[in-house]
Amino acid sequence: MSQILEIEGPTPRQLLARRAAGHPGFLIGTTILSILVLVALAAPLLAPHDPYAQDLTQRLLPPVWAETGTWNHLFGTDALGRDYLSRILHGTRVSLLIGLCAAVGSGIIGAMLGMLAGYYGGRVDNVVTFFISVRLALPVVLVSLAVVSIFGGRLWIVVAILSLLLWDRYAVVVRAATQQLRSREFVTAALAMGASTPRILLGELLPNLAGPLLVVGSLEVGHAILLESALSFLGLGVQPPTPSWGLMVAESKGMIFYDARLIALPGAAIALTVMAINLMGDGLRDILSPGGRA
Amino acid sequence: MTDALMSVRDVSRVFSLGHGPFTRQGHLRALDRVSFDLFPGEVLAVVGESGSGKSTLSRIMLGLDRPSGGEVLLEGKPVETYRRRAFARIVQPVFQDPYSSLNPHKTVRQLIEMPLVIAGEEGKAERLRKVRELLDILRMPTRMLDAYPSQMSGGQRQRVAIARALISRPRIVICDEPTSALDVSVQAQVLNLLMELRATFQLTYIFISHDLSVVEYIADRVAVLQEGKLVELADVGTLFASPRCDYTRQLLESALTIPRVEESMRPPDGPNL
Repeated sequence: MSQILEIEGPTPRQLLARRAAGHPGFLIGTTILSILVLVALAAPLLAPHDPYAQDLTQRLLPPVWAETGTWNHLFGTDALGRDYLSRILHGTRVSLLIGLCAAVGSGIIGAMLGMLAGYYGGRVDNVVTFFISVRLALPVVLVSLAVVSIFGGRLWIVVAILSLLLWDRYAVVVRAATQQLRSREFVTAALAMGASTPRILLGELLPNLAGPLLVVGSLEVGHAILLESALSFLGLGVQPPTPSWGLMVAESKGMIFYDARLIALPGAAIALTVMAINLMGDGLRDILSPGGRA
Repeated sequence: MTDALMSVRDVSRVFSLGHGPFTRQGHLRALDRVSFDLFPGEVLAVVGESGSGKSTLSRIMLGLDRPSGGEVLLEGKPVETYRRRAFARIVQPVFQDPYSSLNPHKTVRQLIEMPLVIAGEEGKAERLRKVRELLDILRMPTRMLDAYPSQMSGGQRQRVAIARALISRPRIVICDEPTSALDVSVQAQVLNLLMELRATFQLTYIFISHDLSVVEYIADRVAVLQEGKLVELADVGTLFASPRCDYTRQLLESALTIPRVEESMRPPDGPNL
């Protein structure tokens, strides 16, 4: 009798921690991203200057590694004499904030639609699948152009646009996962216990969807950051003088042949952030679904 | 005899097959006018081969599916008149596969207290007390409270599933092949446990199984289903000693003659590749 009463093996969480520790890509991505998050949180403390303060006598100062560079402006200044390092540090806030909010917002929309479609099937599924097709047929940039020209390019409008345009991958993944889960007996058991539909969807199914949601979500953060940069570059996203990386690239594009650092530095920041997020997302997928793809 | 706890009256269930423009319309009669009564305190086994309608019957008795014809009475009233939660207080399921019937993301405590949470009557402390009490009865240590299903063996998981079924003190427990996913040694433990609990909680069991040795061991009466029809319903002694129906006789024979089964499972003779 005694041997059947032993608890075997680690908890699911311990198991995940163990797998995470053995995944270099995930560790690298998570480390870089944690640093970026810290930078974003502490940007006002870290930035040596006010990112909005213009000083036309100090225009286009070279960075510290150039011959005439000074330690006062580590990355030099831009065409309006603003400290470039401060602007890049503050840009981390804008990018991560938009990326995270858009990923969460679209995650809520996509997960809800996906769960309803997967759980009910039939007509509900047809309607949701139709919405997914419609969404896939919408060109993101054109829709953004239209919306921004009507409502203006404030930060929360960019977040709202991205949320409404990036939910399709969540919906597809969640729908498929829910279809698999709903035939499992624990759902039948919950039904037999008299559980309500919201309880089954949120209490029984959602915890089991956390893995795929996390994977899609992390990749979607990177996607949203790239899109925000692209929109800001086109002048459709965050409006000046907010320090957004995409906007900084756009403001300096005339200088590309004279002072390439003005484009290279924010560009590198975008690339580093998105790479870190994708490394983490790919790592999460390997960790959460060792048997196959999420 | 006392009044029936649950009565199944002329229950039929027809599934329609194929909806699309390219599939042929068809019907599958999973249950065909099945009638029987379930009396308080008895163990009624339902046996039959795969596809005989056992699982459809259990779904209907659990209120998860509606019969196409006929009706099910619970304590004399049609099941449709019960609200879901009220019904769940009287009838609870134990499923076949404890790997699938327990949500892998919940701890033992969350799993067992779920019927109480759904009923929403007791506070947290009271629920925990009941869970502990039940674990005690099931001879499971309380340190299991925070374990996840993936950390437990099949027998332990099935105990958790049984605890979950019993926590709201139901009168009827519908066991859908509760031991067929378990090791033989664990099967006996779980069966003995079910029998013990029957006395402790004054339970009535419906025991759906294709394992006739288990049925002989546990049941008071046996109902035999064949292609959706109830072909025989008798006391377990009578049925095993002198089955009236040919189909029952076949079932009994196929279960007892192990050598013949092995013969039929041998691969056919052929060129040796």
